[in-house]
Amino acid sequence: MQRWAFVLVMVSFLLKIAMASPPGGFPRQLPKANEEATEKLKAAYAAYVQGHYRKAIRLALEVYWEHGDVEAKWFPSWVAKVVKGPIPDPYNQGEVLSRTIKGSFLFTTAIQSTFPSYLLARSYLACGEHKEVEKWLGNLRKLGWEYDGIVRVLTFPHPCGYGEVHSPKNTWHPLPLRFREEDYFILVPLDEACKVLGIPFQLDISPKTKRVRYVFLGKGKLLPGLTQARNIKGEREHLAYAPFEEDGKVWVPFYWLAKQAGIRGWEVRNGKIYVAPKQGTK
Amino acid sequence: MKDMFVMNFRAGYYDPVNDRWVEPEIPNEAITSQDGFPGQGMPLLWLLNANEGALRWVSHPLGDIPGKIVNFLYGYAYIRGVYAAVVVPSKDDRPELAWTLGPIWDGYRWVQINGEWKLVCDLPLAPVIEVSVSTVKETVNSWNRVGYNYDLSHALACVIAHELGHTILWDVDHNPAIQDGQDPMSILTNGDSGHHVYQQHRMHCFMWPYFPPGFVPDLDGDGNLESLPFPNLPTDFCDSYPGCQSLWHLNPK
Repeated sequence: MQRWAFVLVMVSFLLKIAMASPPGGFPRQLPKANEEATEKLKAAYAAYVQGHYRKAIRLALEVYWEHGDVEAKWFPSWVAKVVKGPIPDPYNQGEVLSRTIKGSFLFTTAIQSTFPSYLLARSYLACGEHKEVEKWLGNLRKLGWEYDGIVRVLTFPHPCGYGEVHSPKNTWHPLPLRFREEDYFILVPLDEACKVLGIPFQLDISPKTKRVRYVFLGKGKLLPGLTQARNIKGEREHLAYAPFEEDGKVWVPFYWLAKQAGIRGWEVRNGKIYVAPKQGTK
Repeated sequence: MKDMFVMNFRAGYYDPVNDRWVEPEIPNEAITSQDGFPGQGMPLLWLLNANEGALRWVSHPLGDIPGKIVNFLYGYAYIRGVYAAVVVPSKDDRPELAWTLGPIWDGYRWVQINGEWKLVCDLPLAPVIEVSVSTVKETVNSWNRVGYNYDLSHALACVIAHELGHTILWDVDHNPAIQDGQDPMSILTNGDSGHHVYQQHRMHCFMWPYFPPGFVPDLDGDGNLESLPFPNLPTDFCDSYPGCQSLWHLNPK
């Protein structure tokens, strides 16, 4: 009931702002981000997905103030690990579609893209700052976004939930876990991370290829090289960064595993992953 | 037109490289379901799995271009009286449910000219429909979280049927007085590509421009939504007002 009321209030209230903007049509084509802006937007996107909203806001604002609404498109690094041959130009929709249709890899679903106003509207929403949300939704409207797109910005869940954890940082503890960073995503070896986080898992190795076919976690399932997954409850989910196998190890994005383990707050500090203590449910 | 061919580019499949079964991104039922495409009075549907379609290089004055057997078939669709379309899962930075490239009589094709990929539309080839499955899922979930009970498969069938409708109703403009972008809520009123027009046409049809249908924005800005979605999703194209079932044809006006 509370969520019902929230959605209705948000939709009706914010629409006044959204509709007050000039008329639009199809969303306008945005200018291509330069290399520096692309890197910042990639970092901002990863920060948003991993629940680090303040960092996402800071980086997206830096791009916005310097370049305005520019669009960054990229193929994540994991794509190069599972695709043989050259990767298409992510800005060339025709090439991406053509390579998808003629080949066996879905380039159309692997592509990532973002731009400041969208990321800012989503990040401020995740932080509960509705005045700022109104402002950036107004920008989306000016860019030609229609009503249903605006509603989706307001109602879609965030990969790591609402709000950042604010418990005192001295209560956070480091995990005895190695990690690496790719495209600003923190990746961890699956077996080691599951032991540390207490998540039961099982690897299914193909007798034919000797490679990991599936990873089972509770009722969940991960497939190396694909963003399609099922979470620990067995529900369908899309990962923002696909797991991949390298030298017999499966590397997975930490944000997703942490979510499965019920961890809400985490950060990388002094070369270690620190996690907030778990809080009781109300 | 008595036969239709639709190719699903992400049905479930066996991945021989990794020796595993990959679950469908777009279940075939989303295309063949009785609750979706094709519907009443329409031709017989043949579903083709992309992984079963052999690659064929099609000769073109600008160079060889990749195609599948179905596309080759489609090259003659307007002569043979058949219809073919390609459905591909996709994603975009904008939370669109799906989009369609090209009508059935004038499909677009990307070709490489001097090393650069360019869009050409001078060959009659298959139209392509890109579907953001995760957006459809989240849209359904967001309505279900506030008390509706929409079925994801039915919703996916509706979205795909809507886009397949565009491939045939591409040239139908129900409201020539208003074009896209001329009205603050142009998608509700422009009637482009076979979209229904608010306050003129039925909402309970695949061609209503919003999903779920019946969801109409706060047009007068009084803070109250004009209506809320129907509890049930549509299961067909409408037979009247404006009668999408009878507007199907192979060639533009």
